[in-house]
Amino acid sequence: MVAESTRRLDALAKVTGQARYAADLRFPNMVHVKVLYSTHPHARIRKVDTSQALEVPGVLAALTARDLPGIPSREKERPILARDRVRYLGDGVAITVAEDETAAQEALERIFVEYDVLPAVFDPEEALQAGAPELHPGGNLVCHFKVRHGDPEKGFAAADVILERTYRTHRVYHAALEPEAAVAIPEAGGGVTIYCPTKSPFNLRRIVAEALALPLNQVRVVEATIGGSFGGKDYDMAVIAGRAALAALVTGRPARLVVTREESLRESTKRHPYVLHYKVGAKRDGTLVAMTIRGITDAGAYASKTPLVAWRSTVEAAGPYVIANVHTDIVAAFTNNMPSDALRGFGSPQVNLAVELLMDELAGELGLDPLELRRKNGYRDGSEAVTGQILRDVSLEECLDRVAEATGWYQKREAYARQSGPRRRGIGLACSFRGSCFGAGGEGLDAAGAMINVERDGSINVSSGICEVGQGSRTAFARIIAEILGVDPAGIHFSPVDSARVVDSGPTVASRGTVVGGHAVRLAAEQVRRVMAGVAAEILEVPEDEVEFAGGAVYSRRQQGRRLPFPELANTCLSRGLTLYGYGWYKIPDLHWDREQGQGEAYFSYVYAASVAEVEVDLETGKVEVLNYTAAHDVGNALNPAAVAGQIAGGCAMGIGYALLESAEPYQGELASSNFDTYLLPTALDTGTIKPIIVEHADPLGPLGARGLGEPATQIVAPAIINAICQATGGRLYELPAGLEQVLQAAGKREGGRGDV
Amino acid sequence: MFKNLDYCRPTTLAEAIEALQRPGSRPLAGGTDLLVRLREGREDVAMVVDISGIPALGRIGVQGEEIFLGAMVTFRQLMDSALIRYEAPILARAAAAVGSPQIRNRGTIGGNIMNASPAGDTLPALLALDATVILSGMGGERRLPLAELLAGPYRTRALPGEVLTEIRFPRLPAGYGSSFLKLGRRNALAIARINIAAVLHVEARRIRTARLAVGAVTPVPRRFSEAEAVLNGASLGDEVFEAAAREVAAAMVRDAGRRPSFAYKIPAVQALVRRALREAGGECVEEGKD
Repeated sequence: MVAESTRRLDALAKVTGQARYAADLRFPNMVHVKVLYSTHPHARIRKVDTSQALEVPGVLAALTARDLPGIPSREKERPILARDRVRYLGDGVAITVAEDETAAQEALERIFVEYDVLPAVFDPEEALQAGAPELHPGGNLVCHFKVRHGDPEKGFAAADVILERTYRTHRVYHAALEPEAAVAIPEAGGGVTIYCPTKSPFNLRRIVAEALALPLNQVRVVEATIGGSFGGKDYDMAVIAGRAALAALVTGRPARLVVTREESLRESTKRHPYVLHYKVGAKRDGTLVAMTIRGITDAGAYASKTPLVAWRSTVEAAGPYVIANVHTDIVAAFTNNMPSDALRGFGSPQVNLAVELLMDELAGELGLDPLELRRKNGYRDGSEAVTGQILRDVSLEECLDRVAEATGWYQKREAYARQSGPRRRGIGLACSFRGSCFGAGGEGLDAAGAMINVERDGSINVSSGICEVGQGSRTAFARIIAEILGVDPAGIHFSPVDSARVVDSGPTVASRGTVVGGHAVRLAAEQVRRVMAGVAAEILEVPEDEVEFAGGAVYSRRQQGRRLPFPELANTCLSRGLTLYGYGWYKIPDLHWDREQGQGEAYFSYVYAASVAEVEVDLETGKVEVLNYTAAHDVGNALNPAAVAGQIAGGCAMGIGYALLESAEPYQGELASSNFDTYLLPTALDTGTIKPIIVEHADPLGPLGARGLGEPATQIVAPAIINAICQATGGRLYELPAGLEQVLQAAGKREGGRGDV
Repeated sequence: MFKNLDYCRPTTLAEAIEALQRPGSRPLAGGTDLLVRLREGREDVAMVVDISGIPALGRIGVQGEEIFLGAMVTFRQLMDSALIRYEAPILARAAAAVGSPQIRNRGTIGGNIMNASPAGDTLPALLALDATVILSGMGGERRLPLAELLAGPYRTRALPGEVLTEIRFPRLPAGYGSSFLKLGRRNALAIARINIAAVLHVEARRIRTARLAVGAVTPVPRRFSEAEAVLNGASLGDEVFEAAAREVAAAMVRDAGRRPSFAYKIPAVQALVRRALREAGGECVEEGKD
C-alpha cells in the first residue's frame, strides 16, 4: 500500500519566487566581497601586495590569510585563504571588500602576488610514485581501504571464465542552479551570524570558528533557502562563509559573497574520478567464484571526505553479489587538481558502473541473459555479503523482477538483438545495493536531533539539525509527525537550521537525512504524544493505550464518540502547566568493523534497486537518445510518493548527465568548461520517459520503515544506459562519459571500422 | 555590471547609423550573444546601439520573386511564420533548432549572421537559400552575398559603422526538395557539432541544381561547391549522395587541416550529408508525383 502524496511544504514559495535565497538577502550598509584565486596549480606564495587594491575608490579592505585571527584550515584541509602555498587553481589567495561588487572586482586586478612555482602532479598514480611533488606532510597517500574475503587465487583456479577489465570514471560538477553564496553579519558581542545555503552547518561553523579564533557559540549559522546541493555546499560553502565572515568582522558591516558560475566551477569540489581494475571468475553456469578489484581515486588538493567516499567504494565495489572470494583494494591520492568530495552517490556511482558493466560483459561471455546472471548471484535474505555480514530484509530480487516485468525485458532484449539500419535500439539493466547512512567507516557523527513544539492552537513548530537541501526532508519529517500526532502535515512549520538553536546533527549527506533525522523527529513527536495521550485519557475517561491520534482529533479507539479536537487538547495541556515541547536524539546503532580485513557490519542496513534503460543509438553519428528509463527502488515506506518519483526522475536526469554529457575534467589542473554553455547538463528533451516503481519493504531500523533514496536513484542510472548502448552498438564501453565520439567509436569497432577519406 | 558602457535605443535607421559612427559602438539585437560576451569582458565596446526600436527591421515579406527578412526578425518569428514555413521550410527548421524557447524569443536572424559563429544554425540554411544581405551605413546601402559577408570565425566583412538591416533570398522553384539537419550533443541548448542544409531542384529524377551548405566543420559555414558539382546533372540515388558526402569530407579536411576532432567528424559529416540529400531528394520525388 502506497501512501498519498503530499505537496512539498516549500513548493509554492519556490515556484512563485517568494523563497529568499542567500543572494537575495540585503542588509543595511552591506559590503561586497570578491576572491582572488591562485594562478598556479602548485606554488609557494612569496608575497602578496594589496596596497594598490586599497586605492580603488570604494574599496574598504584587501585581506589575506595573515588577517585571519585563527588557522586557515586544519592540516590537509582546504584553507579559507591560502597562507604560504597554493595547491590548486581554486585556492583563494586574497579577498577584496568594497562598497559594490564592481569595485571589489577591480581591486582584485590590483593585487600582486609573487609565487615560486612548484612542480605539480595531476595523476593520482604518479602522485604515489617516489619523487612525486608532495602536497602535504606525510605524502600523497590519503587512504587505502581493503576487503579480504576468502581466497581469490583459489577461486580463479576453479573458474571456467575469467574476465579482466579496466573502467574509468570522470569528474562531474554538482551544478546546483544556485552557486555558493553567503552573507555574514557582525554581532555586537564580537561574534558573527552567517546566512548561507549549506548541508553541513555544524562543520561549517567549526571551520569558520577555527579560522576566526571564535568559540563555537559565537558563530551562528542560519540555513538559507538552498538552490540545490547534490552533495555540494559543504566544504565549498565553509570556505565561502569563512571569507564573508572575515570581511564582516574586519569592516564591522554585513558582508556578502556570491560566487559566479565560473568561480564555482573553478573552485568547487567535484565527484571523485576512479580507475578501477576488475578481475572476475565464474563457472560456466554463471556462478561467481572470485573477484579482485584494484582502484585508485584522485582526492585532489585537499582531504575533505575522500576517506569516507573511498571506504564506501571499497565496501560496495563487488556489487550486490554473493562471491566467496573477493579482495578489494582502493586507494586515494592527493594531486594538484580541484578537491573531490561528496556528489550524490558518495563513492557508489563509480563502482556501481564498473561492476554492472562487468556483469553484462560476463553474461555475454557465458551466453546468459544479463538478468539471469544477476538473479543467480544477487543478494537474498540471509546471503553473506563480501564483507562477511549476513544480510536481512534484502529486496534485490523483487526489484529485478518488477523492473523486468514492467519493461518487457526478455522480449525487448531479444527483439533488439536482431536489427538493421543506422538507428538501433538497446535495452540495458543494472542493479545496486547501497549502505544506509555513514556506516562503520565513517568517522562522522551519525546522530541527529530535533525539537518539536505544539502551540496552544494546536499548530506545530519544528526545528531539526538536518538541512532541507531540496530532497524534501521537511516534507518527510512532517509526514512522520503527522502520523504520530494525527495532524495535517501541511500545517506544520519548520524553522531553518540555526546552529544557535538546534543541536549538532552532522552533515546532511549519505542519504541519511530521512533516516537519522526522521528518527529524531519521531522521538520528539512521541514524547509530546505521551504527554497529550495522558491528559486525553483522563478527560475522555478511557485507558491511555486506547487513545488514538488521527484526523486532527484525539479519541478512544473503542468508543469513537469520545473525542477531543487536537487544538483543544493542546490548549488544555498547556493550561495545566505541562510542556508540549519534545526533544528527540537518535544515533545509529554501533557497528563492528575490522579495518584490516574489511570484514564486519559495514552498514546497519542496505537499500536495493534495479533499473532498465532503453536507448536508440545512431550508429553513424554516435547520438544516443534515452527513450525510457524505469527504476524499481525499495524505499521502505514511501513517506511521500510524489517526492519518491521526483527523486527517481531527478536521479535519472543526473545519471544521464554523468553517462552521456557532463564532464569536469581538468587539464593540468584547469577546467576547459567555465559555464553551462560547455558544461552540458541534460535538458528536459534529453531524459526520455521516466517510470518509477516503488517497492516497499519496511526497514526495521528506518523511521516508519523508510529508507534513503537520493543517492541510489542516481548511482544506478549510468550503468543501465551504458549497457543499453552496448546492446545497441554491439561494442563495449569502459569509460565515462559516452559522448558522440566514444559511442561512434564503439559502434565502429563492431563493424570493423568505417572508411576514412 | 557593465562599467562605462553607454546605451541608446534609436527609433529610426538613420539615427542608429548616426549613433554607430561613434568609435567602439556596436549594434545590439537580441543580445543572446553580445551580452554574454560583454559579461565575460571579452568585447571592447563603449556603447551599445539597441536596434530593437526600429519597426522596419522586424518584417518578413515577399517582394516579387524574393523573400525578405528584417535583421530583427526573431527565431521564434521564423518558426511561426506561415510564409517561411511554406517558402523556406529549412529556415524555419534551422530557427527551431536554435537554443531554447527563451533564446528563440530574443535571438534574431541578423544577430545570428553578424555573430558569425562557425556553428550558427541559420547560416547553412541561408547559404543553401542563396541569401544576400543588405548593410546600411553613412554612405547608404550595399548588398552582398551572405557567403561574402562571412570572413572567419566570429568575423564579418561589415565595415565599422555599418549595420545589417535585411536578408533576401529568391523563392524556390517548383520541384525542389530541401532538408536541414542538426547534430548536437543534446536535444536543446546545443551548439551544433554539425549542421547541414540541402536544396535540390529536380526534374525527371535528375538533379538540375544542388545547393549544399554545412556548418561547424570549417572555420566559416560554407557551400560545398565540390559536392554540388558531383550532384548537378546526376540522377537521384544513394551512389551520388555517397560521392557528394565524400567530397564534403575531403573539402572539410582541406579547409580546416587535420584536427583531432576529425576522427569523429569525417564519418559523421558523411552520414549527415547522405541523410540530408536523401531527405531533400525524397521531397522532390514526392512532389513529382503530384
